[in-house]
Amino acid sequence: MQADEPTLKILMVKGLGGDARAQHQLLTLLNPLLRNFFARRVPPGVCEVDDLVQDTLIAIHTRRMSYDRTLAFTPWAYAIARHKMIDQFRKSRASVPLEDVESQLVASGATDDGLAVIDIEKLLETLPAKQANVIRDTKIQGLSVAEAAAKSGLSEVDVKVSVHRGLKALMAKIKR
Amino acid sequence: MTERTTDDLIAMLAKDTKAIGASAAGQRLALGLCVGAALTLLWVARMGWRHDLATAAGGLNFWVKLGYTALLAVIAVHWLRRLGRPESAQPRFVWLLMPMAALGLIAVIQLSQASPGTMPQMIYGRSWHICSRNIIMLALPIYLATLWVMRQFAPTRLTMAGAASGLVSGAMAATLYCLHCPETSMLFVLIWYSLGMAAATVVGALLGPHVLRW
Repeated sequence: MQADEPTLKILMVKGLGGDARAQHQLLTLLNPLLRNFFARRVPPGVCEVDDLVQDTLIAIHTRRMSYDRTLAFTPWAYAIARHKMIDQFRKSRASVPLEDVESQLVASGATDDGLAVIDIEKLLETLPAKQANVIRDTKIQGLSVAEAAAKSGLSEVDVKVSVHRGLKALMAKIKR
Repeated sequence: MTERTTDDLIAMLAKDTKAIGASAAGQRLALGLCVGAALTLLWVARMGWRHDLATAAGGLNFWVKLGYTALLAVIAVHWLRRLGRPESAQPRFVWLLMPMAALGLIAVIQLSQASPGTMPQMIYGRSWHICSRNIIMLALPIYLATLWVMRQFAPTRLTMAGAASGLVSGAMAATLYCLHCPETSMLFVLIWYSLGMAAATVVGALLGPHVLRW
């Protein structure tokens, strides 16, 4: 199926009518388009294109109400993608790269990997259970935010915030 | 591996595909505004209706005043509606000047007919010191309602969307405040009502990027 404006719009309108299969098709077609869109715009190392694609797909699905079907679909979808990208740029500028925290945890624990894991577990136990769980899921097991959210039954924002706060607390503990 | 998880995500999202009517967004906005306005109306009722409401409602002054704030509210609601869409363009502020210019003209006419020496009375009335403050206070329930609505939409111009939320709430609150406030000078309305609405707009614009983030 071709991913052009008429096709996408028809699928979108069907999805708004409650057609889950059309919605599935729509999101599947958007996936490579968004990947392409971000890959061309996001400088390497700023953030994961995958996370942006997933964030955008979620927003496109959950904020469908804001789409006016008398207007074109692709400008709406790409406006959401752009918004997600800009939001990500601002975030990555405003905060330390959290990916590094894990290596810092390891470095500060011991040279032996096994010991480091134990230390991370010990440190995680000092956090509230919610924060510890989402950090285990996203940073150690490598699940995406969306998956961690689905697994824990939390909203995605909740997961992101919990990871962020948890890592911040861990950093503070290590520095002490 | 990442491909697979994205596919899983898509499957998960698609499974939860509910029907959304063509007018769902408008209805949601209308619901929010009605609830907010109802709360503000209760608040106005607690302040007390203007003592001469029945006779005032038969006169032109009352409706000019109400028309001014209601017109601004209509413009702002239109903007709010549009700014809920991610691809929306910048609103055109020049529209706001029209009701203001019209009211200014009426104020000048009113002033030219007034007996000399009543100028301070026309400006300050009896309630200038509480008017703007009351409007800002009364705007709060409607402002919260607009946030509830906008957070379900997809605004990308967060400062603008916040400003529109503020203006909607300020203008609607001012409209309802007309049921309490007995001032009859249009100059008074032009100054103190506008000040209250402007303050609500500025607060909304400042808060927008924080409270409307998604």
